[in-house]
Amino acid sequence: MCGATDGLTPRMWRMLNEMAPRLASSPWARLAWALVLSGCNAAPAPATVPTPSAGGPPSAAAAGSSGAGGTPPSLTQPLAEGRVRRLTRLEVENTLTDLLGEDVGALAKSLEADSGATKFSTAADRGVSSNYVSDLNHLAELAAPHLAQALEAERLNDACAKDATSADACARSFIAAFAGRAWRRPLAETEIDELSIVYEAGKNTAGPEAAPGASLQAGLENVVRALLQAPSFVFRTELGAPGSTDAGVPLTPFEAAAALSYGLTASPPDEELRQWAENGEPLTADVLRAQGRRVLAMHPERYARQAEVFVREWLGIDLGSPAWRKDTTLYPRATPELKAALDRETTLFLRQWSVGSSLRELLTVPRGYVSRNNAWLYGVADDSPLFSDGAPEFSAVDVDPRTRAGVLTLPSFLGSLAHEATSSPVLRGVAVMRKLLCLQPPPVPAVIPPLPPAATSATPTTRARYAQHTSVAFCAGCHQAFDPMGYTFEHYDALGAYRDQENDAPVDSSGALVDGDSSVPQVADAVELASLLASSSHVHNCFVRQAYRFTSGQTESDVDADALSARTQAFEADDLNVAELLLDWVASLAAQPRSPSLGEP
Amino acid sequence: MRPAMHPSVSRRALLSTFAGLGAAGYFQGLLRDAFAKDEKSPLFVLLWNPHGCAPELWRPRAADGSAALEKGWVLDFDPDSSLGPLEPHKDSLLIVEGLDFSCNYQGDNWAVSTAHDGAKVATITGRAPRAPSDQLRTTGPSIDHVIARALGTRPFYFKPLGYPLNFTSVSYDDAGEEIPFEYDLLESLRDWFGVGPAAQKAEERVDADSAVLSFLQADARRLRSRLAAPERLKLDAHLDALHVLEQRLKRPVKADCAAPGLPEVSLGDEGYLRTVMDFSLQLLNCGLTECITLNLDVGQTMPWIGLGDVQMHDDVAHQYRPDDPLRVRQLSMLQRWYASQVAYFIQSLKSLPQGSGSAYDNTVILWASEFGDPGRHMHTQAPYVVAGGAGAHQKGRFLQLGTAGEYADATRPHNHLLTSVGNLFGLELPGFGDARFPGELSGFLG
Repeated sequence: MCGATDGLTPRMWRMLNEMAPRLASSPWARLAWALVLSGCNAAPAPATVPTPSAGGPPSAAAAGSSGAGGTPPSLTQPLAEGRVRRLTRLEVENTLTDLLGEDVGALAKSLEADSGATKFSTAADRGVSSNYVSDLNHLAELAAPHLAQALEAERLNDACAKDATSADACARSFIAAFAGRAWRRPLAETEIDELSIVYEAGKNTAGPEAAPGASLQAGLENVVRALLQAPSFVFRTELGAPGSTDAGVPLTPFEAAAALSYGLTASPPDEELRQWAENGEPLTADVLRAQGRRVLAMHPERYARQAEVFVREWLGIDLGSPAWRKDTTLYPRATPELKAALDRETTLFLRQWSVGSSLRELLTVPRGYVSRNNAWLYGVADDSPLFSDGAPEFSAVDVDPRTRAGVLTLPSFLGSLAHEATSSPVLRGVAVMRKLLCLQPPPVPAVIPPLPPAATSATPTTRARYAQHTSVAFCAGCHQAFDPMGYTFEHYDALGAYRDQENDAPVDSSGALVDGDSSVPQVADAVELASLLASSSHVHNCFVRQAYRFTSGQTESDVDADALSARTQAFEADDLNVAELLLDWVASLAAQPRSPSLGEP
Repeated sequence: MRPAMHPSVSRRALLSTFAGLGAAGYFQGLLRDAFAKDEKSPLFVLLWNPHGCAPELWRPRAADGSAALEKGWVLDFDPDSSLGPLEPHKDSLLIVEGLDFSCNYQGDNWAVSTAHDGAKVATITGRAPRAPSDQLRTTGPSIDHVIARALGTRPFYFKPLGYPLNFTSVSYDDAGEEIPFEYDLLESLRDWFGVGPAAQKAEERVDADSAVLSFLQADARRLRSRLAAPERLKLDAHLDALHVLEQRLKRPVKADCAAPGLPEVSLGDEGYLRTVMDFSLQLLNCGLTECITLNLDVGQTMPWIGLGDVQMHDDVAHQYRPDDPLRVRQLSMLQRWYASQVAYFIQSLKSLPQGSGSAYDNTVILWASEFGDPGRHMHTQAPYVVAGGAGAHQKGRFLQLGTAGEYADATRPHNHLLTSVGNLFGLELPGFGDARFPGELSGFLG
């Protein structure tokens, strides 16, 4: 191990992070990381390092791209591979709601959680497990009897139950139309024929003496069972027309429509989008963007929910997960009711934010939503008029801008990044580093010196306990990259409640923004940090990356740097409008040609 | 207790399964058919706990306190000995010390594969994380997933609590994706016992289900034919899952099966894990599953251990030093509590009649933990215990393969144990996980 050292400079951290993907396959990686881990600051710097930062000069590709109005930068290096993307739980829910009603849509919550490499639910690498298929079978069983909405949509009426011949004719018509909506594309005759077999098998369950209407219902229920469990329902395709061998195959209009609609609203195409797909207009990014903008305008509530999902997954806010558990001896107010209130507050905060959809507002607005269960976190009294009879359960409140600023000071975020008994400067600092700056901390070293026990007289505050990270050279090599940001959140305990003192000692929340630049601006607390983050070009660039990961379902690679840089400039020019950013990514991805299918029988 | 292999499953085919994903789904489907003919298929239980162990008080000792030989040892040699609660069951145990997660010390990823992420990935997959930027996924399945599929059963994966931020499960599917665990017992109760094919289905209903399944398989094959690798793997997995579903829909549920009652305790209570185990046992009793994986982690705070208000990971596991008797003892107390839970599970299985014996006679239990040396988060000397009456492996034995704390070479990869456990279920695997470490564990079968 090296001797005492001041560790790596922030700039070197950023360089190492950018080098990481290429170094990983090299023996030099071992040397570089070993030096980092040993706290040695003699790691060899690369001769050149591409910097996707928006602060650098625009590349030729970037210069040729424009913001919201122009052609989005292409991410194509080699042609993108054709692929299938599994619907997320939210996408299944919205699809079922549109097909069969809200009650059926709610069944999607029983499906196993989404997970994938990008840690967004939209990750394109997800397939299905046995559990998932089993859950889907269960869901389809429960959903199938709820046909009323679908029968009305497909205009099946009493005439269909007149006799067996009428019933079968209606069934075939229903199958083609309903399946087309469920699978987001017209079905081939072969597929309709196969579904007719499923229909006939279902009819028999009504019994030989059943009336035509009962047989029709039983048969159609079996069809719905089949459609909802089918791979063609679970996966949406990005393959282009079948059999095409062209060098670059565009998505079919139906695939593009689905990509737009799911990408922006987690929902299947609406009627107008379906009609647009049937018309078969040439797919350009501008055409797609225009359709996407219409979708956003027509379905703001669906966009709001999608935007909420994006931010929650980006920041790792999930109060439904087991991660959010507190020591109830130390935090007796950490009740299920509080947890539910914080979850609801997060939803209200993010959905209200989605209307303006500015990243700056997201990171700085001093707003909270209080109910009887979480009011104490904001110092609102239980007998406040906000809770008088007839008042809504939650009310928006302007909180003290000296104590709260945006989503990073929401109790749900802070409580998700804490231990059961204490706050965690490390978890919070690393979260800022990873999620807002897109910097990757090195792995936990093999040897970890112990921290002092919690809350002794010598270390009454969490910060004092963690100070060893910066006083011991071995630890400082890594911790100086994130602890200064984590310390700024020390005014918030493990629940996210504001505190001036911890164990009768004053809280010190001073810290710094360690974003990779040579200057390391000092801040007094998380409010100041949030303000700096909101105007940081590194954060803007990182957010553009996160939006790419969310919409594309994959992680960007080095060669996307120019496109990412251009998109960052457009994002900044567009006043950090997140809806426009997501729209541009979704539209450009939907316009992207794919390599021809190489499938084998 | 080793079911015969289906004659059409070639060793070559299984080699391809081992080397990559290849035709895994298809051939494992054949294995399932072979098992389906065996009315009394074995049960598999995988137990996993965090924090590793203190070998000094974990490994068995001779009755006089000296080093244990392969046979004739005791476990309850000290009030805090880690495995003491298993003393009554020791004749059915195979205790293995000295295995390394060699997959995490190989190639270019060694610097980032150790510590929690690599351990979580490797413990029951035998594989390293995919890449430095993708540390929570790997490139193939965990052993419980493979066995569950071979048994044609829907596995029950449960964790009372995950680590914040990154630990969602320890089980992986064929593509090396985390399989999300269940964690809410009330939801599990509703899911597993609320609706089920308990009643005999009418013939017409069976035909209707069959028509649906045929349609689903045709759709999956059609879509698969349009895909290039690796996208095709998604449809391979889908086809395999449909096969499992087909098997499950045919399985009868015992007529006298009753759902467990509502849990009377919650996470944070000492008895919660036993409630989870009772739920699991009823699933086995009802024939609703034949494969269970339980993550025994119940959180950082466990005041009932007797260590006071400390964090189990930060203040106990991290503080472990082999040369500090107090730290060794504290970690062993923690591990002993886990052992008491395992003992409870074993005793419960022994009390569950099955055939002419008990469910324990027909069960293989693999108990694993994430580290060998938790103070340093090393992937050496990982502790494993194989329990249960099923299987032709050695019982009442202690295999001490090594005690070195530092990783030295690739001579003791834990892949060998995973392979051997898989082969107790008739899989005839040439290896499991990282293809650089083929073969079974020497001494496993005697």
